[in-house]
Formats: sequence, C-alpha cells, structure tokens
Amino acid sequence: MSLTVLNNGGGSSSIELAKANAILDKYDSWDIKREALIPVLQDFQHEYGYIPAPIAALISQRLDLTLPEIYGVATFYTDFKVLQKAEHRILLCEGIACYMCGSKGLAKLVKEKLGIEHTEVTPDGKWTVERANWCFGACNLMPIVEIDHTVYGNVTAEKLSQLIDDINTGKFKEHHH
Amino acid sequence: MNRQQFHELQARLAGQRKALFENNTVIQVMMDGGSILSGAKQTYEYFKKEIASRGLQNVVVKMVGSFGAMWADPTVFISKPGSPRVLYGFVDTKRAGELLTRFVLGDDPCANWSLGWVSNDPYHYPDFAWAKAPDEEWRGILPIGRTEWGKLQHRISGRNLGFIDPEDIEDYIAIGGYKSLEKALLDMDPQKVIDEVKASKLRGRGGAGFSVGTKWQSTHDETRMPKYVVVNGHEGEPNVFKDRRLFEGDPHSILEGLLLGCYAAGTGDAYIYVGSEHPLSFKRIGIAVEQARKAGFLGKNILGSSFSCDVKVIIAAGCYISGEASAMLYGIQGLRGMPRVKPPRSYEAGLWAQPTTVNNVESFNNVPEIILRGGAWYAGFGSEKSKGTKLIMLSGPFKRQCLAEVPFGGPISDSINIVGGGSSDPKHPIRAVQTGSVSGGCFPPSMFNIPFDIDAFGKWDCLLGSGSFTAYTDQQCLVDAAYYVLRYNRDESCGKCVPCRIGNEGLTEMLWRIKSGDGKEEDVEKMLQISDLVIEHSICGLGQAAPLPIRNMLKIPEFKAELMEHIINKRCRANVCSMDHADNKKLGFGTGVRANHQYK
Repeated sequence: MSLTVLNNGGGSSSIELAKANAILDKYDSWDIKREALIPVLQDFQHEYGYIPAPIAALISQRLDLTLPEIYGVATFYTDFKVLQKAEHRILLCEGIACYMCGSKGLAKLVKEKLGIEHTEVTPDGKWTVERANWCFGACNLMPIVEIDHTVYGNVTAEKLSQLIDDINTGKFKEHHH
Repeated sequence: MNRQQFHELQARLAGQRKALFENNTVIQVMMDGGSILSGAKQTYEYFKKEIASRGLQNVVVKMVGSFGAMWADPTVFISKPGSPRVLYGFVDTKRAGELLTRFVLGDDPCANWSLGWVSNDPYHYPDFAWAKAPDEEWRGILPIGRTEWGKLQHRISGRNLGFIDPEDIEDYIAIGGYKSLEKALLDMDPQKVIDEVKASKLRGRGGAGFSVGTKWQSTHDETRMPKYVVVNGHEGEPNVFKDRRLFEGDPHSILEGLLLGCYAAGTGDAYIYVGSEHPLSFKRIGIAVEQARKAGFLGKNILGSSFSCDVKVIIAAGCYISGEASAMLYGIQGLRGMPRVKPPRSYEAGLWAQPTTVNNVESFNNVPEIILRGGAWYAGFGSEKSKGTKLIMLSGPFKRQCLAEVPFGGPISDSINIVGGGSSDPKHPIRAVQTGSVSGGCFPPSMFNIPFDIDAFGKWDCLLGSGSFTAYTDQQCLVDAAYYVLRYNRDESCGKCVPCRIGNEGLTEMLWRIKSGDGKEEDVEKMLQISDLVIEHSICGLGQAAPLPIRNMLKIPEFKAELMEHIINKRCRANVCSMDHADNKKLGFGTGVRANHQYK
C-alpha cells in the first residue's frame, strides 16, 4: 500500500498507515500469526476506540487471515467494537447486586433523559449506554456507573442525571470515586 | 540461585521484615480494585504526603492486597513498635488525619474505629484459622479471631491477603514464599507432588469441582509433547471477585502453584489467562512474573534443579462464556471463545490439541501450602466430600459485604448470619440468598441449615459455583432475580447450542411477560419443559445452569407462591415488577435489535 493516510470510509478520523503498521510490526516475531489476532485487535481497540474497516483489511493482509475470521473474533468478544461509538459512554454495572439494588432505576433514567436504550446511540452521536455484564468487584458501592472510564459508586438517579448534565454543559470536573 | 543462596536470601529478607515492624510504625493501606474505587489511593497518598511534610521519622507507608473487609473500605492497618497491627475501617483522608494525630503521634488507639487486630505474620495463626490463635484483647480491641467477622474464617487460599505487598517479591519470600517450590523441585519427584495433591482431595474451585489431583495425573501420564498448564483467571461473572483479589493481593503464590503444576505435568510452558475487566489484576500478575523471572524462579534450571519453565500472561477480551475451560483455550489461540463438546477432555486435547492442565486461580493458590504441609493436613478440614476451605463473596444488602474464607461442612447460615452479619437493615431481614452468582437459584431462610458443600446444593437446583452469596430482602423480587439470571445467560450465550440460544430467549421473554402482569398459568408448565430441554441439550456449564433459577423457584414452596402471585394476582409483593403490560421489546428487554448504525 502506497497511501500514507487511509480513508476511514467517511469516518470522522483518518488513520495513519505508518502508525498502524508499527503496531503490527510488534507481532512479526510471533510464530503462529493467528495467536496474535486478539492482542492486535486489543491494541487497535485501545488506539482508536473501535476497529475501523481499513484496519481490519490491513490486519487481514499482515496476519494472513480472512476478513470473516477477523470480524468473527472482533464481534464475538465484548471488548471489541467494530463501529465507531458515541463521544461518551455510560456503563451501568449490572451485576446481580447492582441490578437488584438500583441499576434498573438508572437504566430507566437514561432512557427518559437521553431517549436511548442499551447499546443505542443518541441522534447527536454524543451518548451511548451499555450494560456491564460483569462485576467491578466493589459491591459495597452498589450501584456502580462508569462514564468514560471514570467510576462512580452509590449512584442515585439524581446524581447520574446531574453528571450527565455536567458533562453536556462542559461543567464537568473530576469527581471523587 | 541454588538452594544455599535461596536460604540465605530468605533469612535476610525475613530479618528485614521483622526489623521493619520492630523499629517502625507501619501504615499499610489496602489497595485493590475495589478499595481504590472507594478512595484508598487518596488515603495512601494522604499518608505519604503528611509523613513527608511533617518530617516524621520511623513511619513507613506501604500497600497490601485486600484483606476482605470490603464493607469498610478504604481500610488500613497501623502497627506501632510493640503494639499489634490494628485494622481500621472507613479511613478516608479525614479519618486518616485523625488516626495520624491520635494514634501514630499520640497514644489513643481509637478502638471505636477499629475492626480488630491482626498479626503481621499469616503463620501466626495455627492452620491459618484465625480463631485458633490464643490472642488477647488489646486496649479494647479484639483479636480478629474473636470478632464476629473473623471467628469462623479459615484462610488457606487467602492466607497472604492483607499481609504482603503484592508488587514486591521480597515481601513474599520474607514470609516463606517459594519454599514449597524449593521442596518440590529439590526433594520430590513429579509423581510425589501429584500424590500430595491427590491426598489433599482438593477439588477445582472454578465451579465444576473436579478433582485437581486427577487432572494433574492425567496430564502427567500423557506422553505427547509439548504439554501446557494454564491458569484460568477469566472471572466474568457478576458478584464474583475472588480470583481478582488473589491476583491483586497475592500473585506470587498463584505463580508458585502454577510452577508446581508445570513440574507435576513435566512441562515448561505455562499460561496465565486474566480477564480484561480487571486491569489491576493483570498489572500485578505481570509485575509478579517479571520479578520472579529476575529473581530466578522462572527461566532455566530453577533453584539449581533441572526444571525450566516460563510463563506467558494473556489478557482476555471480555465475554463471560470465554471463561469456560475449553472456550478459554480457544481464546488463547486467537479464535472465538466458544466451548466444545467433551470428551476429549483438555488433558487429552487442550491448547493446540496438546495435553493441557487447566485449573482455576484459587485451586493453584492452595497448592503451595498443600505441598509444604502435606495433603493429609489439607484433607483434615472440610466435609466428607469437599475438603478444605473456600473463598466466599458476600454481596447485596448484607451487613458486611466482604471476601471471606470458611471451611466446607458448616451450614450456610454461618456464612450468611455470622460472617455476613445478616441484613444491613434489621427492618428488612434477608428472605433469600442466591448462591453461585448466575448459575443457580436461591435458598429461603428455612433452608439456611443446608451444609456448605460442593455437592449439597444440586438437589435444589442451586450451585455452589464460585462461592458467591447475594442476599435479597423484601425490597427485591425473586421473579426479577430469576429474570435477571436468565437475561444474563441469554446475553452471554455463545449461540452454539440451539436450545440454549433459543430456549433462554424464550424463558427470558416469558419471565418478562410475567413481570409485566401478562403471565398465564400454563406458562409454568411450559417454562419447566423448556428448562429441561435447555439443560439436557447444552454442552457447557452456561446452558446447563442457565434455567436452574426457574426449576429452583418451582421446587421451593415460598418462591413458587411468589411466582404464582405474579401470575394469578398480578401482584409483586416487593413492588419491583411493573405489571404495566409493557411490550416486551421495551425497557429491560431490548438488546439493540433495532439497527441504528449508519453506514455512509
């Protein structure tokens, strides 16, 4: 490929080929290319927040895997996203204790306030809400909400509503927890 | 490093550790994934800053792994020369400041904030049972073995939790770490190691409860090379956090157990598979592996023996089902993590179709102590069929949400009412306890005398699983709990077995209908039929356990009455279910079925 910048299918960001290749270069020494697929995808997920289509094509070329193989893995594991997501992500902890003791109410609040359900994105592309089908391991803080990789404990509907407002209006500052 | 050098190193580090506690005031802040969310990092930094700015001499701030007292997070230990190590709860920066002035600088031990005192050496406690130590009350502070929370605890697997700095191999060696590796490599042959593990009757701690010794023997007996040993640390269930607390609090003993497993299997290729949900776990196990490599416990000719071994840490990519043993092996190979039909078992065809031992973190963690003290010692605890002790996790409206460890054999009410302290609010007593997280049903208080034993729960369609207990009071609805478990399993089903993929969807939909007030009496019979079908025709533990809450609910009269109330009277006594005839594609049910992705 002679291009230095790949067109990301109309996506908002462009992808530097050199940087992408540099990530892939790290795995050149692996004997079994297939084994490197998940670490490679993790790197790209970390870099871009999702797996852009041109990157999937590049992985396919470099690791000698077919696109269905790559997308098969990328869509199976919950850590990978194949589509560009919203600006802010609300992650509601839905471990049993959190679900039974309050996160249902939070899901309801998000639906009422932002008009979105689980995995949907608001029309302005600002918000998405996801369900954490695992545990944060801090069940004394239930219910737990994570917004953009910051975790909040003992969240009530009012507190979550306030947080969303603060982020929306840019008044947001690092809270404790 | 040879044997002589190892002994010298150990003596030196043990002396250093002893001198540290004898000459200094040591403040240990418990830093784990959970307590950091409660503000442990701020407390830790506050202590560091204050001590530096006040120029205090002989005061050392250290971090340790979780001690398990999660309800009181952030927690710290403070030990002054000549006084025991006192555990304090709810230590935010404000309380930290008070403790600093009143106890560290003054002489008031603040007994009302204390949760008990704990020795700084896990081997102080005979057999690691806290209550067995003949400790005295110190200035109004009870020894941990005489507190309500601690009196039943018997910490074999979690022996080092809260005692050592998890990011420092020297701390682990100082309290006797890698001794059992030394004993095995230099004094025992692999068969002898396996015999000890067999004699301990240790059963797998991941949920299935398969004998660890038998697994190790099978891999040992396979002659095909290469062979692999894998630690399954992909802990994806909700309300289960024992493996990550072990990774975060005592990574070296997992590594030591893994090395013993490799030695027993006769291989030098090992993997540690850690869930991506626990960033601190893979950070700390990564540090542990690096330190062990540097110190010579990994690599060529370990401790002067002919045994060589190296470990790879693999970070998973999420997804609950890829924590199943066979699925996990596919995950390591870079494939979709879907379970497969067994046999062949993993000792016949595991990683790259080679013989592989796969065990849970907690299983490996027990092994060093078994080798050191003998299998018979371990088999002396627990019930007839389940030997030893088990980490339990209490969550929900308990008085004490915590990580604890109790021996098998006692009634589960011990764990619920003594370790957990019953309900957090006496006005809302516990009316059911969910066992085994998302694989199994609940027990009502009338059945809390059922023994805590791997095999005892099956009759009631509950599973001990990984040892999680979640309490429900009259604020929670049991139909809602069953709906949650079914929905969870539906979401996490890999879809390979059709009955699981479609059956769980159907069951979830029926429970949603019942919750919305549209249940019909014939649903009960239908749900039972589908449940049996799903259980019978699924190949892995997820499918076989998913419909258990429904069968459990129909077996236990109290729960059945509640379900029938929902169906016939359209009433939810906990006032949780909406009963609003909601369309089942609305709130709580949608999984993003409506595509809203816009391709340009």
